[in-house]
This record gives sequence, structure tokens and C-alpha cells, in this order.
Amino acid sequence: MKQILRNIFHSPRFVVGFVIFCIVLLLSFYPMISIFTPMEIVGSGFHAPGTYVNIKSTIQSRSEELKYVGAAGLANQFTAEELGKMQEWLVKYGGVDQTVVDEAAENDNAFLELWTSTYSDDVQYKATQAYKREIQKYNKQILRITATDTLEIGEGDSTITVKSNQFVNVKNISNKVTLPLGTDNFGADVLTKLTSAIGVSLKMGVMAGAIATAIGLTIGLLAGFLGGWVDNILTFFTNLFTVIPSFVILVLIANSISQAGRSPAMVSLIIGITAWPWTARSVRSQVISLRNRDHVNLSKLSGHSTARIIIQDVLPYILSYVIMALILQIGSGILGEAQLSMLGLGPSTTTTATLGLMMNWANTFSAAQNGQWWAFVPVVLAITLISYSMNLMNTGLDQVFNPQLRD
Amino acid sequence: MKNLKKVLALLLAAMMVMGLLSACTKTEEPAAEPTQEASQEETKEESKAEESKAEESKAEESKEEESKEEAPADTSVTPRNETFYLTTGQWGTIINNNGFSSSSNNTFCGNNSFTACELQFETLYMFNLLKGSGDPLLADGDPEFDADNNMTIHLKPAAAWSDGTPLTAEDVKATFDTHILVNSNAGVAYAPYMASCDVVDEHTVVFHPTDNVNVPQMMNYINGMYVFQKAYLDAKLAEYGTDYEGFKNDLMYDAPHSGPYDLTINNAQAVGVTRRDTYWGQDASMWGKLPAPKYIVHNIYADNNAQANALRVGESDMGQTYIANVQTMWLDDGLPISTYYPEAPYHVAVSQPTCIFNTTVEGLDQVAVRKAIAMAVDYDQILSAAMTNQAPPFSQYPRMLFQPNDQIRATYVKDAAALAALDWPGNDPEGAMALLDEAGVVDTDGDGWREWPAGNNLSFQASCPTGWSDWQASMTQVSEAGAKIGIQIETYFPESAQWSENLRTGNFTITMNSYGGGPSDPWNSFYAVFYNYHSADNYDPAYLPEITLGYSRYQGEYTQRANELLDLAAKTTDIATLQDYYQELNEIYLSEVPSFALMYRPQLFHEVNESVWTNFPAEGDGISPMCCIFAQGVAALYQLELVGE
Amino acid sequence: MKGFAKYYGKRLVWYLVTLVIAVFLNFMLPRLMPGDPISQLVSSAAAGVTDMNAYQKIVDQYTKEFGMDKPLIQQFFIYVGNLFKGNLGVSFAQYPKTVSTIIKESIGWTLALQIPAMIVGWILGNVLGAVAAYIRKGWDKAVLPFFLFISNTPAFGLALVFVTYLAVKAGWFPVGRGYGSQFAAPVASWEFVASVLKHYQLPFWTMVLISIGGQAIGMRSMSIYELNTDYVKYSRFLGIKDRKIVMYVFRNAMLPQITGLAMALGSSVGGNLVAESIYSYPGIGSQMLKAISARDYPTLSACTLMITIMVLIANVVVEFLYAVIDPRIKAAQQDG
Repeated sequence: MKQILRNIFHSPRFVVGFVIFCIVLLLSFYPMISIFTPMEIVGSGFHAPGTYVNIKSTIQSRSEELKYVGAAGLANQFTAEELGKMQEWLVKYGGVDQTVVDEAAENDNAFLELWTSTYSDDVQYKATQAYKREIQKYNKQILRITATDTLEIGEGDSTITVKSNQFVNVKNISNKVTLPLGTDNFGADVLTKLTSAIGVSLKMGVMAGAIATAIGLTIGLLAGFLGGWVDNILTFFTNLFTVIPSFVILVLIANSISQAGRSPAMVSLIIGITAWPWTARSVRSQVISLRNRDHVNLSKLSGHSTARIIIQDVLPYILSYVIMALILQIGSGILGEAQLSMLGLGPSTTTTATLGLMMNWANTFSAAQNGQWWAFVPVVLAITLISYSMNLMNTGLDQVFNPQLRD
Repeated sequence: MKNLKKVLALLLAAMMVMGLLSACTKTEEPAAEPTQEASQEETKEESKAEESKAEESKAEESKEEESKEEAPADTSVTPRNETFYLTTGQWGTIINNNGFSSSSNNTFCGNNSFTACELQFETLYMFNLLKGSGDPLLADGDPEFDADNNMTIHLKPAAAWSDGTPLTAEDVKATFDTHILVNSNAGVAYAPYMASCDVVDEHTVVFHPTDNVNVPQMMNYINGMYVFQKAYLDAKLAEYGTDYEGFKNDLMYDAPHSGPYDLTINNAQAVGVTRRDTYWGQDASMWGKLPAPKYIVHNIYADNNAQANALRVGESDMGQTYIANVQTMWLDDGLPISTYYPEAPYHVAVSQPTCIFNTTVEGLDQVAVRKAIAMAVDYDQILSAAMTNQAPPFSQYPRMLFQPNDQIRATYVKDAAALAALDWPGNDPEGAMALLDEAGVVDTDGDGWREWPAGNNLSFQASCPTGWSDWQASMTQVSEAGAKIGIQIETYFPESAQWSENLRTGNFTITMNSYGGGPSDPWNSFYAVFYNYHSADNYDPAYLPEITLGYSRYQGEYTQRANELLDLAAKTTDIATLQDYYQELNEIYLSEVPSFALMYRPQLFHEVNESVWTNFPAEGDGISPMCCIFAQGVAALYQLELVGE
Repeated sequence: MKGFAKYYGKRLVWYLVTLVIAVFLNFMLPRLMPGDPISQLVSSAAAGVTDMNAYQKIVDQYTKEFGMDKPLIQQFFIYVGNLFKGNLGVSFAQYPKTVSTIIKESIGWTLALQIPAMIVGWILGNVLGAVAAYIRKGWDKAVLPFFLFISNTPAFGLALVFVTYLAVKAGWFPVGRGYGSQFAAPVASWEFVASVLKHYQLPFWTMVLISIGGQAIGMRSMSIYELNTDYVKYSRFLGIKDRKIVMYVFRNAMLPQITGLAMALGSSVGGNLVAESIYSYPGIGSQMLKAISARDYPTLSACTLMITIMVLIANVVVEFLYAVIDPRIKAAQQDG
């Protein structure tokens, strides 16, 4: 046993897969230390990853005056393209001479003055709405730059004056929160939700994989070892499930079970009872090749019961194979949950998150297309990594258990 | 071993042949199947399915061929600068072009609704979303009502069919009579309220109501129903005899129409129309010119996301799907995309997605429980999570059963202060709990859930169809509100078919539906909230005993009064009288809380990409933002311009 | 040879029974879905209908039209009877269109996408697997793991990432559908062919990329296994040229891979739900997805039936071919 384990951990593929898997598994404990619960609504819809500082408490924090005033020039506020667009507007619609604009462009203050004196949102000109709104956006930004140097906030005694060279040390701000992966469409912290979903999906994958392997193993053993009419019937049954593609059965069964009944456990069960045929097939063929080995025949002659022969003389020889099949089934169980959820047939629950459901919500709210990648890409990555690590471990084991495959 | 090699070689050869074949199908297959052939096949298939009518189908098939052959060949390629691409509700190949069909999915023949597409067939009036009433199209001037609510409508003398013949009062009458005769969905829907249509002279018709007078329904009819040509209808009816099902399933691609466009593109990937330059509407009495785009094409995409992607890359000029955080398209991505308003709420809101209580359920029969739930709900969170703020908040338009529209509210609201006194701001669990304590709905066994009647925890299920993201987000908020005040509300998201069935049979405790909008508004909003079938005159117990059609099942002393008011309001056109009725109904709505609005929502979202076309409807130009093809929104087509011209 | 015939006679009977039960399941399973397809049709058809009796009339009309008023078992026999006439029924969701029309419209697109993608994915995967087994080094340490990683991405995820970043953001590919929107209808021109090919790229490569990893890992194992066999060692000892040995090795290793390809080709008629729907590709997969959400029983049954029959045929073909190719298997089969 020790030797086998040592061999296993000498296989680089297995080790890489195992490490990836352990990292993902460790991540699933993150919700324990997170300040949020997985489904807790932290924001109002999507928020980008980052540290959020409360503005009110920033203003009220102890401030210090620095000589450095930060990025205040036009070049820091606008891209060259945006500045070019504004100059173009001045010439095309503001009736300003190109030379005047070019001259003003040399000097920030001159340009600001030229812009504020020429442009206002009330100016009527013929262009697309989109263009007008873009120019309005720039104008708003300019108005913010040209606004008075100091801001006065509050009334009476509690008035706070904010000057542009006033800074606050981030450490001194009491009210801030870091959202490493932002928030999703519900406003829940993606990292907490994702890591909790990894846990749930792993459990679902293990359950689905165990069910599929158990059914496949039982059917394969019985069919292969007993042969005859038992084999015929079981093989027929297996074929039935193979010819109707498992994905179709999956969709049909998932659809037939009402939404209320589709708990995560039920979905794992559905995936499990549709994924076993290939395990059954391969186990059967392995058992057939074992059936006539000498040690099995010897056992038969000694009058051992069928059950005992199967458990003592057949099972150990295919155990390594079964373990590899289980690992693959777990991986495909997690992928299966994701597929079902994307079709709207995943677990029906609003109290727990699964990877598939997260992906489905991100898709429903077009997170990827709208640039909210943080609600979508990490989920896809998590599913891929789990499934990938399972596959790597499987190949690694394959090399260890099949000496012919060794390098 | 030798054997094996041979077989392998054979296999490889077979594979290569297959590969070649598939490569051929890849390129040649679509080319070998032009539209004409496809639609002929369609007809053939049909004749197989309906063997009894084999002969008629054949006749029809030959007609089909003729009408298809007329289609100009140059529509196979539509130049970008002559084509307006839009995406609305066309998710598959169109089934037919029949305005009497009970299952048509044809965007360009969308019928029986105030969002009628006005490109091919035309309605008497075209509904104006901004005013809440119709503008004349085929009709001339507003409808005139006499004391008995007989409705007289004049027609524009210029109106004409695509075959050149004038469109007359006879056509209007024939259309109405046919709907009633063949039991079309519209015929079935309007027959209880509209008795007949009479021709007064060539350009004047009068609609007579039944004893069950309902002016809002009559307004629905004239804004939603296309006018078809009498001669064509007569010929079709003669062909089918009493086989009305056959009539309703006829394809009718050859029906004469009065609108500016002909249906010329029809395949699995697109549906489209081509301008007919003899359109009557270029007469000064209507538009005075032709619409700008020569072609209007609706490409068929798989889902909302695919449509939004098409809009992003400029493959589509106009979209009407909900796009979360739509402002990022121009603020962050710098795309030439804009909405109706430059700032939130971005679109014109019309309807009110509403939370409905089943008031026959123990617990929900208590006003205090209903109102407490409504008070505890956080409406701002719903607006941001479900709609990313693309609708106005209740703080801007206080809750009442009128659309969030200044003009409409100015017309109908009698005493806003009286209604404001009954309203609640939301997100007020303390107030809600105080209300429940006062009503004696308390938690006696200390398990955290309140009980009513004594000993029974208040426990309900808030349901809406799965995949309707904004509704699901709303129901989740209702569930959270319940948890805050000690009422257990679980969310339940069935498939939409399951949900509609539950709604129909009253098998729910808390659910959602959306009300408002259209020519019969505000009457239909009140009707939807209040009408009680158990006491209705037209209720026939032979049918489902507890049929609800999604309306609040609602009992109590105020039922009688609400039903009375609804009947009265249906029979008058006098604004001052209506103000009184609606004021009282709104007061009942806010004090009895049989249901409550969760948010406002646009009828149609409005996003345009100005890379090719510009001058889309904008605030102040009086054109409804209705996809440029529906109802009064069609006016936009006459002002569209190419960018840079 | 007699045992051979007897064996296959038996197998054929089993396959026939399988077919019958599959037809029954295909009919029953979709109908067990909760929710009445008619309510959904009616709720859209009767929007705005405010009179209750009128509403019920519409419901009754639909129920009768679709034969839903008859008992389920009677519906089944009507269905089977129609199947024999080649009539797959009328679609619920696209009424009054027939299911045959729907399938006819989309099958070409699906096959044109699926078969080349499967074959290309299969060839690339097998070449990669063989190269990884023979050359090792970077091929085995980096390239193969990379493709294995890609094939473990959920297809929806990969397709969405492609469409978002390669089509929408970068603009290198069209965002979906079968051909460009300037073509109102398919036409016989080179521009059209070019447009079809352009729209073909993303769905095609998505499917190819997803399949490479799995194929490669299988081929790699089989190749290493064969490379370690006695006959290879013996041949090397005899001094036979490496190239020649490798040819034999890979031919033998490919045998099980061919089975996989045949089965996959059988199921290709079902289209790819994922790739087709994300790319709005007008194939069977898109139709099936629509049918699932609209409870369109006839369309759904027809699609699943088609897949079932094709997979069954592929099974039979594989079984027969195998016996011809590999005498060892034949012996085992006669034994079993």
C-alpha cells in the first residue's frame, strides 16, 4: 500500500492535479472566515472588484495637507482621443477657428475657458444622440474640474470644508470594505459566494459520482461475472441508456421533476442515475476477462459463494479502475450540474449557491458582455479547474496502475 | 493482421469521403435552398398534416407560388444603408401572415394588441404610448361617442390597398364580422362587448356596443385590430366554407394590405419587409412622404443576450430587450448606443409588475398581514437589483393604479394628497411590525414566526416563472421582507407553463403579474386588480369553478363596491366622472392592499445603435419609443436619417 | 460462421427491443414534464381577453386541436401510427408548422457544423495524442495539458467567453447566426459562401477545441501501451525502421478511437445545444432548446427519437465492424 502511494505521488500529473484540487478544496473553506455570508446582499447589483471607501467617513476622517496635489491637469483627466474629440467639436459645431483651438490646446486654462464659453448643453446642433451624449459626458467632467477649489459640506456648526490638497491616510478611514471579486447581480460578494458554491458543487459532484459508479459497478460486476440471461438483460438495460444520449435523459428527467423538488441532492441523484452506463460497460468487459482466470476458477472449485468470489477474487483486481472511474465521474458530475443549470434545469434553491447557478445568473444578467467579467470568468475557471484536476489525477493514476503505460 | 489493414484503409477512405461530403453540404446546402422553395415545402408539409383538406391546400399552394414569384429578386441582398435592422420578439421562423390566426408569431403581423406593427397591415388608430391614447391612422379624427356609447369613426378618403383599390367602410365592417364569425381570439374577446359594426357611408362606420357596455374594450379594438380587405376575406371565406379552423390557419401571404411595406423576406434567419412606393400614406392627409428605410429586417437570434450582442456590434440598429446596466455601453465601452432618456430611468415606464395575494388563504385574508408585507418590502433594492434603475422610483411617481406618466396622471388623479396619506414608503419593518402587533398577529410560541389564526405560523410561497430574472429578484425581496417581520415567505420558481397554470387555477399564495398600459388603461389596471369573478354576471360555473386568470382573488365587503365602480367606469367617457370612480378605487387599492406594485417597468425597452441610422425618437418630439414599427412609434420611420447625411 | 450469425441475430433482436422502448420513453418523458403547454400558448394568445367564458373557449379550442383531450395511451398509439406514415406531428410552439418542416429546415445546418467539427477534432486530438506519446517533451508536458484544460471548460462558458471577447469586444468574428445579415435569404454567390464560412468559425472551433483534449488523452494512453508491447520491442530489436513501427503502433492504437468517433457521429444529428444556442446557429440544437422551454412535445420527441435511432445504428455498425476487424473480439462475443 505504502509503495502504491509512493508511486502515485511520484507521478507528476497526479501531483499537479492533486495540488490544484487541494487549493480549490481549501478555497471552499473561505466562507468560514469571510465577513459575509454567501447569499448576503452587500451591494446593489454589480460592483467591480476593489476596496470601497465610505465617502462620508472619508470626509470625517482626520485629514492632512500635502504639497502634492495629484493628477489635476487635463491630460490626466482625458485621453488624447477624448481631447481630440472636444477640439473637433469646437471647430465643427462651436464655430471656433481651427487655429484658435490649436492655440488653446497648448494651455489647459485657455482650453477650459474656450470650452466653457463655447459649449453648453443647450447648444443646438445636428449629430447623433450618441455623439451628443458623449460630448455632454466630457462637459460634465470639465465642469467638475473647473468647479471651485474648496467644497463645503453640511450646515451650520457641522460644516466641513474640503480643500484640494487635503488627504486622508487610507488606514484612518474607519468605514471601508474590500470586495476581492466584486459583487454579482444580486449584490452578493462574489468571492464568498463562489467559494461556498465550490463546496456545494463538490459535494454534489461526489454524490453524483458515487451514485453513478455504484450503479455502474454493480451492474457491470453482475453482468460480467454471471453472464447468461442476467448479462443479456443488464446489457440491454445499459444499451438502452446509451442509445438515448444521457444528456437527453438528463434534460427530460430534470424537466419532469417539478421545480420545487429539484434540491441540490435531487439534481445529483438525477446526474448519477444517468451517468453510469459507460462505467457499467467497462467494468463488465474487465470482469469478463477476469472471469476465467485461474484463481477465480480455483475459488469456484472450492465452493465459495458467488458474492464471496466477486468481493474477494474479482473486485480487488478492478479496484484501481473503479477509483479512476469514480474520479472521472465526480468531474463530469460537476460539469453536468453546470450544464443543467445553464438550461434553467439546475437545483432550485435561493438559499445556497452552486457553480452552475452562479454561471446561469451571470449569463442571465449578461455579465460577460457588459464587462462584469468578475461575476462570470472566476466561476467558469473554478468549474474548469476542478474538472481538470480530476482528469490529471486520473491520468496519473492510470500510469501507476497500468505498468505498460509507464515511461 | 492483413485483414485489419484492409479494413482500416477502407474506414479511412470512408471517413475522407464523409468529410468531403460534409464539406460540400457546408457550402452548397444553404445555397441550394432559397426561400421560395422552403416555403413551398412548408405548404406541402401542411397538406400532408391535414389530409382532409388536401385539395384546398393544393389550390393554396399554387397561389402561394404565384404570390412568391412576385417577390422582387433584388431582396436577396439588402444594402446596409437602405436597411433598418431591428430586434424585438421574433425568435423563430414566422408561421403565417394571418391576422385571424390564433397562434401567429409574426412580428410584422402582430395583432390583437395595441402594439400592432403598422408596416404591412394598418389599424384605425395607432396607440401613442406617451399620451396613453391613439392617434388616427386609417381613421380621420378622434372616435365620436353618442349618449348610448355608439362609436362613430371616419376614415381617411386617401386610404387605399396595395392592389390600388380604395379602403372603405365596407372593409372595416367585413373585418369585424369575420372576427366574430370565425371565432378568432379577438372575435371571442370582443364579442361580449361589441354587438355590430354598421356602414354609414363610404368613409364612415359606427360600432354598436352590447348591453355590457365597455368603452375601454372598444378603444382596445380600434387601436389593436388591423383592417383587412373585404374582397379578399369574402374569397377566403368562400374557399373554406364553414371550416373556420382552416381559415384561421391559412397562410395569407398574398393578402392585400394598406401599409407601406410588403413582406418579402421569410426564412429561418430573418423576416423582413420591402417598401412599396405606391403607399397611400404619402398623401398630405397622413405622413406626406414615404418612410426612410427601403428594407426593414428582423434577424432571428437565440436569446436576449444574442440580440444585445448584435446591437453592440451594430448588426442591429434598434433593440428592445432589457440590458442590465445599459449605460456602461456608452459610458465605459464608448459605443454609439443610446436610450430614450440620457439618464436613469433611460426608458418610458408604463406597466406595474405587481405582487398579488391570494386573499382566500388564511392569514392573507387579513388586511394587516397584506399591508405589513407591502410596508416591509425594500422597493429601492428591487429597482436596482431587478431593473438596474431603468424605471422611475415610487418616490417620483407615488403608488396608484395609473401609469408613471405625467400627462396621464394629470388627467385622472383627483386628489393626490388623499392617496399619498394611504401610501407607504417601503423598507419599514418597524412600522410593519407595529401594524401586525396592533392587529394581534403576533408570535406566541417564540419560534420567530407570527401566527394567524392562533397556533398556525404564517407561511407562504412567493412564486413567479423561472428565468424571468427581474421578477425572481422581486420575489426574493418579498421573501426577505417577510423574514424581517416574522412572516415566512419561501420563493418558488416553476417553469412558466406551470406558473401560468397555477395562476389560472388560483393555486398560489403570493405571486406576481404585470398590469398597465394600452388604450384601455387605466380601466384595465383596476379591472385586473379588482374584478371578482365569483360575483360577475358573465361567470359560468360550468367552467372551472375557481378560475382567476391571474387576477387577485379577492373577497370582502369592498368587493361589491369595487365591482360596481368598475362597471360604471366602463360605461362613461366623461373625465370628471372617471376621476371620481378611479379616486375611490385607488383608495380601496391602497387601504385594502389586495395586491401592490413592486416597481414600474417599460413596455418596450429602447436602445438604438447610431452607426447607420440616426434621428431616432427622443424626448420632446412626440413619437412613442415603440421600436419604430409598432403603433404610433412607426412615425419614427419618417424622420430617420442616415448618419453623416 | 453459424455461431456468428446466431449471435448477431440475437443482438439485432435486442436492438429492436431497445428501439421500441426508446420510442415509448421518447414519447412519455417529455409529457411527464410539469406544466400544461396549452396554458402557455393561451396566455400569450389570449392576452387582453377579459371575458372568462371567452378565455375558456380558447383553452378548449387548443386542447381539441392538439388532441390533448384524449387519454395519454391513446395519444401514444396515434403517435406511433403517425410515425409509420412518416408524420412526426404538428409543433405546439410553432403551430401549425409540422415537425418535419422544422427538422428539414435545421438538419442541414447542424450536420454541416457537427460532422466536420467532430472529424477535425478527432483528427487533431489523435495526432496530438500520438505525438505526445512518441515525441514527449513539450508536447506531452505543455501542449497536451493545455488542451486537456480547455476540454474541461464547460462548453457554455467557453462559447460565452469566445463570443464576448472575440466577437463583441474584438470584432474579429460575427456575433452569431448562419450568415451575414446583408443576405435576406441564402443566395448562390461567392460572397454568400464567404459569409457562411465566416459565421462558421466560432461554433466550429469551439466544438473542435473542446473535443481535442479528450481524444488526445485517450490516444496517448493507447499509443504508449502499444509502444511498450512486445512486438514493438521485438521489431526494434530486429532493426526495423522506427517510422514503420510507429505506423503500426498508431494504427492499432486508433482502433478504440474509431468506435468513439462512430458513436459521436451517430449522435451528431442532435446538434450541439450549447454551441448552437450561444451563437444563434439555426440548427437542431437551437430548435431543441426552444422546444424544451416551450413544452413543444412533438418537436422534442422527434429530435430525441432521431438521435436515438442514429446512435442505435452507430452501435450496430460499430459492433459489426469490430467483429470483422478484430478476430479476438469475435471469439469473445461468441463466448458471451
